[in-house]
Amino acid sequence: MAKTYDYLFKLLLIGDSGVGKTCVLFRFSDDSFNNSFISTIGIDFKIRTIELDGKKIKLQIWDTAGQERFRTITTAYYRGAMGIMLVYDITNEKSFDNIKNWIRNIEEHASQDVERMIIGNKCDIEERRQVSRERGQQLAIEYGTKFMETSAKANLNVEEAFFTLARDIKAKFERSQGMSGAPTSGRVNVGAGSGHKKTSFFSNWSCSLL
Amino acid sequence: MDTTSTLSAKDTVGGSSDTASTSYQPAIELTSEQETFIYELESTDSGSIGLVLRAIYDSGDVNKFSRALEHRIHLYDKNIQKTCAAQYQDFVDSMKELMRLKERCKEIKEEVIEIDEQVQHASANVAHRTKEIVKYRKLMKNATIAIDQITTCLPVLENYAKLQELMEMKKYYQALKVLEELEHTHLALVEKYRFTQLLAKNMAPVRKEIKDKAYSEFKDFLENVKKVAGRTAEQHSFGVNEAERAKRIQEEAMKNAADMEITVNEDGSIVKKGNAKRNRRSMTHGFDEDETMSAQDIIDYTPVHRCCQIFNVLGAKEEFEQYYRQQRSEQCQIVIEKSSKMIQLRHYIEYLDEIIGFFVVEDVIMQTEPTLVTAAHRDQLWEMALKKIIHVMETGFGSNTSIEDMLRMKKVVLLFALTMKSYGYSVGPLYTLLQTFRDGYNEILMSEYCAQFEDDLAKDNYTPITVENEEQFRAVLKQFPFYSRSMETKPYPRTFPFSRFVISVYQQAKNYLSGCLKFMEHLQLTHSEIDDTVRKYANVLLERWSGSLKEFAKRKRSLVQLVQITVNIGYLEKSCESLGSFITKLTSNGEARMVHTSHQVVLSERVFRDARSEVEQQIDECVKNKVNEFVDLAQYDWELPAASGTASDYITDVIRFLETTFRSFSHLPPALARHVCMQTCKHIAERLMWMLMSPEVKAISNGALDQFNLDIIQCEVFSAKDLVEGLDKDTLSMAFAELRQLLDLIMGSDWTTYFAEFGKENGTYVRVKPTTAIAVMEKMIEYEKKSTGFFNPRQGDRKKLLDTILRQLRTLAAK
Repeated sequence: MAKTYDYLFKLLLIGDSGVGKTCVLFRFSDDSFNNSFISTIGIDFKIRTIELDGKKIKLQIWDTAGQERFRTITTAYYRGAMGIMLVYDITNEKSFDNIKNWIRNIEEHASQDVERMIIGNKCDIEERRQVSRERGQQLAIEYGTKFMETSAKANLNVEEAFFTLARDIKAKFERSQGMSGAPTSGRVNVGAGSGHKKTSFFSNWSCSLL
Repeated sequence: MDTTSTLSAKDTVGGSSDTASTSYQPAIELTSEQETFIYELESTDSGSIGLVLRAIYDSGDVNKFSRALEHRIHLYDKNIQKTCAAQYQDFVDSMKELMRLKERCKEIKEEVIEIDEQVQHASANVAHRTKEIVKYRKLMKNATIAIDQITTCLPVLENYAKLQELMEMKKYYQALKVLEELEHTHLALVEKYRFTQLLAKNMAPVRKEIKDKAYSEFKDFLENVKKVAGRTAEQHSFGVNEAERAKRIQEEAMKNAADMEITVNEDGSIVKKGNAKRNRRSMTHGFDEDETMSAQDIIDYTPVHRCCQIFNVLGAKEEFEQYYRQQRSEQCQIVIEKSSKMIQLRHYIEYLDEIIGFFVVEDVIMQTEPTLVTAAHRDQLWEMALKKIIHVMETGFGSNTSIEDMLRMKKVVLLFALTMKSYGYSVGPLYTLLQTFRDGYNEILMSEYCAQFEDDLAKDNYTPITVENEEQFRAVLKQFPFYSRSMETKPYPRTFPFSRFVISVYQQAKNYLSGCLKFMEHLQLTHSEIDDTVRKYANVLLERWSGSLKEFAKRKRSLVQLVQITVNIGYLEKSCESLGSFITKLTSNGEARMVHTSHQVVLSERVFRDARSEVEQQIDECVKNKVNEFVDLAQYDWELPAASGTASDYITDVIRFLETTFRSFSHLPPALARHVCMQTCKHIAERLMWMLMSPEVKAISNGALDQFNLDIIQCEVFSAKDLVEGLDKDTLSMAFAELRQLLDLIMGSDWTTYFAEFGKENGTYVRVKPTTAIAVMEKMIEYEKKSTGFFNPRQGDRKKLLDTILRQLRTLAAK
C-alpha cells in the first residue's frame, strides 16, 4: 500500500464547554466558521494533512465535549494524544480558571511527555475580555507550555497554533528517534497496546519502530 | 218761336187744303156711300187706309169722292177758322202770360245760379273735410290692424327675450320650455313676418346650443362625479378607520351569511337581489345615520335629471341615452384602467374606491332615471369592469410579497365585493379572485415560514432542551404537546429529547395556520371547507418542511445535527395530531361542534418519512465517512514477517470511536442505532475485505495476515459487545463472517473441508467465494515465491498442492 503520509500526530482539544474548541478545529480543518453553538456530543475528530520540512504530517485532531457528563468518555482519549490544546475563552474567567483543572486531568490521564499548549480563544471580542493576555502568558509559563491567543471567528492564530504544536511534536519525535538511533521508517505507532500508562510514547514508538 | 213753328205748320196744312178745296167745289152733294168712306177714313187708323182706299177705288167714283173730300176739308177749314178766331184772345193772353213767365224764369235762373254758387262755395270745405275724414278713417283702421298684429307678435318677442335671458342664466331647461312654447304657440300665429321667420330660423341653433350646453353640463357632472367618486366610495364602503371596517366586514358577513341561508332554500337571483336591496337599504340607512352623507349629498345629480328632461323635451332622449351610456362606458374604462403608479395598497384602495364611486353613482342614477340607466346596461358595465378589475388585481398583486399587504388587500377586496354586492352587482368572480389571492397569499406565507424553518434549522443548537426548574418545564410543555410520565418524576434539571427547534417549528406551524385562516375569514366558506383547506395547506407546509429538512440533511451535517434532527422529526410527527386538533379548534371558532373526522383531510405524519429516511441515510453516511477516515490511516505492511501481537492502531481507534459514539448518542432511537451499528460493521468489513483484495497488494505474508486477523478479531469483539440495545449480536457478527471464514480457511489451510462442504448450506466456509479465495491465495503464493522461491526442492509438493487448490478453486469459480 502506498504511503500517504510520513507522520501521524494525534492531537486533543480540551477545555470548558463553549470555549470554542469545535470552532477552532473547524477553522483549522475546513477553514469555516459557524456562529451557532452546537455542543459536541462525546467526541469527534478531524484529519488534516500538513507539510513540515518536506514531511507529510497527518494531524488527527480529537475534539472533545466540554460538558461534564462526557468527562469519562473523553478522558479515555487523553492517553493516545501526542499533543493537547487546552482551550479557554478570554471572555470567560471561569474557563480560564478551569485550565488548572484540565491540566490536572492531563497529568492524571495523558502520557507524561505529551506536548501541551494553552489557547485563549475568542480574542476578537476584545470588548468582553475578562482574561488578559498577560494572565494567560503567566499561566503558560507556570506550566511550561506554549501560549497563544486565537480567534476561530476572525481566523487569528489558529493555523499558527496547530503548526506550532505539530512542529514541537515533530521535533520531539525526531529527537527521540535520533537518540534511539532507529532508522526512520516514518511509521508512527501511537499509543498501541495498553498498560503503558504514564510512560513516554516516544519510547513506545521506538519500541514499535524497532 | 214756338208760335212761329206752329204757324208755319198751320200754313202747310192750309196749303194742301187749298188744293183739295178746289176739287171739292163741283160736287156739293154727298152720297151715303161717300159719307161712309169719309167716316171710315177719319175713324180708322192708318193701317186700314189702304183698304179704304181700295174700296174707294173699287167704287170707281174717285172724283166724286175727291170732291166730297174736298168739301169736307173745306168744311173743316172753316171750322178751324172759326175756332181760331174765337180763341185768338186767349192766345194773346197766353202769350202775354208766357212772357211774364219768361221773366220770372229768368229771375229764378239767376237766383238758382247764385244759390248754386253759394252752395258750391259752401260744399268745397265740406268736401275737403270729408276727404280728410276718409283719410283718417283709413289711418285709424290701419292702426288698429297694426296694433292687433303687434299684440300677437309681442309674446314672441317677450318669449324670445326670456329665452335669451334664460340662456344667459344657463337655465337651459326653462329656456327650452320657453323655446318650445315660443315655437309651437306663438310663432305659429305670426309666421308671415320676416322677423319671425328669422326667429324661427334662430330656434335651431338655440336648440343646438341648449343641447351642447346640456352636454357640457353633463360633462361637468361626469367630471364632478369622477372627482368625488373616491369620496363617495369611502362614504359608501369603507369606514373611516380600520376598526370600523372590521366591524362592517363582520356585519356584512353576517348579513350575507343570513342571505345565503335564505337563498339556499328558495330559487335564484330575484330573492337574492331582494335581499341585497334590503341589505343595502339597511346599510345605507345605518350609514346615513353615522355619516349623514349619501351619494346624493356629495354629488349633485340635478344635471343628469335636467339633461334627461332637456333631451326629453328635445325629443332626443335616445340620443342622450346613447351619449350617456357611451360617456359612462368611457368613464368606466378610465376608472378601471390601472394607473401606472399603483404600487402601494393605498393606490389599490383608491382605485377600488373610484370604481365603487362610479357604480354607486350609476346605481343612484338607475334608481332615479330608470330609462337612462337600465339594469342591463349597468350590469354590462359592471361585467366589463369586473373583468378588468380582476385582471388588474391579479397582475398587480400576484407579485406582491408582503403578507400584511396581502391580508389588507384581501380585506379591501372583500369590502369591495360586499359593497358592490349590496348594490346588487354580482361579485362571484371577486370571490374567485380572492381564492386566487388566497393561494398566492398562502404561497407567500408558506415561503416565509419555509424560510423561517430553514433559518431555525440553521440556527438551532441541536441540543436537547434542558430545564432547570418547574417553571421552565411548564413553559416548554405549554409550547409543545409533550407528555412523558418518566420525565415528570425526574429531578431537575430535566432534559427533553428534542431541541428548541421543535418548539419553534410547532409554534410556527400554528402561526402559519392562523395566518392561513386569517385570509379565509369572511370569504363565505363553510367551517368544513375552511377546515379542509387549512389542513390541506398544513400538509403542504409540512411537506415543504420535510423537503427542506431533507435538503438540509444532504449538505454534510455533523452527526450531532443529524441525530438531533431525526429525534426532532419523531416529535414533529407526533405533534401532527395536536396540530390537527389545533386546526379544528381554530376553524370551529371555539364553537362546540361535532367533529367529523372522517370528512377531514388528515394531517399526515408520514409527510416526514422521506426526510427521516434521508436523515437516517445521512447518519449512516456520516458514520461511514468517519470510519473511512480511520481506514484511510491504515498502513498495512503486507509483507510483515511477523504480527505485532496487538491490533493495528487505526482499528482500535475506530472501534473506540464507535463505542464512544454509540454510548454518547444515547438519545438515538434504538431502531436507528441498531441499523447504524449494523451498517457500520458491514462497512468496516467491506473496507477491510477491499484492502485485502486490493490489486495494489501483490503479495501477502503470513505475518501480515496474522496482523490483519488480529484487527478482525478486534472488530469481532466490538460486534459482540452489547453496545446497542436490542441488537442481535449474532446478526452483527455476521458482518465479519465472510472475513472470518476466509481467514480461517487460508490460515488454517482447511481446503479439504472447504471443497468437501462447498455448496452445502451449513458449510464452515459457506461465505467464502472461490474467487476471493483465489485472489488471496495468489497473493500468498506470490509472497512465498518472493521470499523463499520455488527452487527449494522441499517446496515441490507444496507447489503442487497449491496448484491443485488453485485449480480446484478456479473450477468452482467457473461454475
